[in-house]
Amino acid sequence: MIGVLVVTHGRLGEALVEACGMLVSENECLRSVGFHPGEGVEDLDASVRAVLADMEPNDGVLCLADLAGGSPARVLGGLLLERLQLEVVAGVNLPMLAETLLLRRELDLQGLVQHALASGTQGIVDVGALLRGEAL
Amino acid sequence: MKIVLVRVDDRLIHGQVAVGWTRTVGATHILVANDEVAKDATQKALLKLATPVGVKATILSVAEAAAALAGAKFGNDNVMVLVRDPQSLLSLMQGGVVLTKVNIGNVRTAPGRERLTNQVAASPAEIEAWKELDRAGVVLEAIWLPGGAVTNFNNVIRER
Repeated sequence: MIGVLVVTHGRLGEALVEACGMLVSENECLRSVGFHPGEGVEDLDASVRAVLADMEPNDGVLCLADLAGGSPARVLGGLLLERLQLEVVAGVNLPMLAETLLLRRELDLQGLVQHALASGTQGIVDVGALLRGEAL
Repeated sequence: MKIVLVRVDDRLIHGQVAVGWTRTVGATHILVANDEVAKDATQKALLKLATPVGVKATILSVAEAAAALAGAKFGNDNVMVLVRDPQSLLSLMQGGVVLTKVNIGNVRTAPGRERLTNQVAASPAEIEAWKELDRAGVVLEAIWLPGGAVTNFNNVIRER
C-alpha cells in the first residue's frame, strides 16, 4: 500500500485528515505534519523525516502539500530529490485526499499522482453556475 | 444491470456516499428512490450536484424506481439504490425488486424517534418496517463508512 503524508501550514493537514474520516475509514499509513509559527524550515524537515521513517509503507509515499510555493512543499521537494519512492502534489483539498486514500491500494505511485491531480481539480466547482444551469 | 448496493441514508447522496461508497462498490449509477425529492426540482438539483464525476444519478418516486429496477431499465450499469427509510424498501419489494442485503447508514435522531444504534434511529412505523424486512429474510447491516465496523441490524431489530 502507498502511504499518504499531508504536510501543511498550521493544523490544516491534521484537520483535513480528521474531516476525511467522516467520508472514508482509511487511516492506515496516513499521517500529517504541520509547520507551526516559530518553527524553521529545518524543524519541519526533521519532523517530516521522522514521520516518514515511522510510516514504513510498502509501495512508496505520496506527500500532499498545501501550497506549491510554501515551505511544506519546498521541504518535500528536497526529500523527493533524495528518495526514490516519494512523490509530492501541492494544493491538497478534501476531494484529493479522500480519492487518494480510496485508490492507493489499486494504483501505483505514478498513477496515484495523476488521480490526485484529477480529483483535486474536479472537486473545485462553481456551485451557483451548476445549480442555475440544472434548475432551468 | 446489477444492484451493487442498497443503502438507507436520510441524507441520500452526500459526501460519504458520493466519495466512499460509490468508489468502494464500483457504482456507475446512483438511483435515489424518494417521493418528496422526486417532486422537488431544487432538491433534485442539489442531489445531482453531490454526484461524483463520471457517475449517473436518477431520482424517481419509490413506485417509479421499483418499476425501473424490476424491469432492469439501467442497461449495464452498476446501480446503487438509495432510500430514506425502510418503508421505501418494502415498497420496492412489493414492486417486484429482489432485495437480499441492505446497508443502513445515517438515519437521524429526533424527538419521537428511538435510537437503535449509534447512527440509526427509527419511528414506531419504521421499527415495524424493519421487523417486516427482517422476517422477509433480508440481511440488514448497519455500517457507516466503507470498511468500517458492521453491526448485525437483524439482531438489533429482533431484540426490540
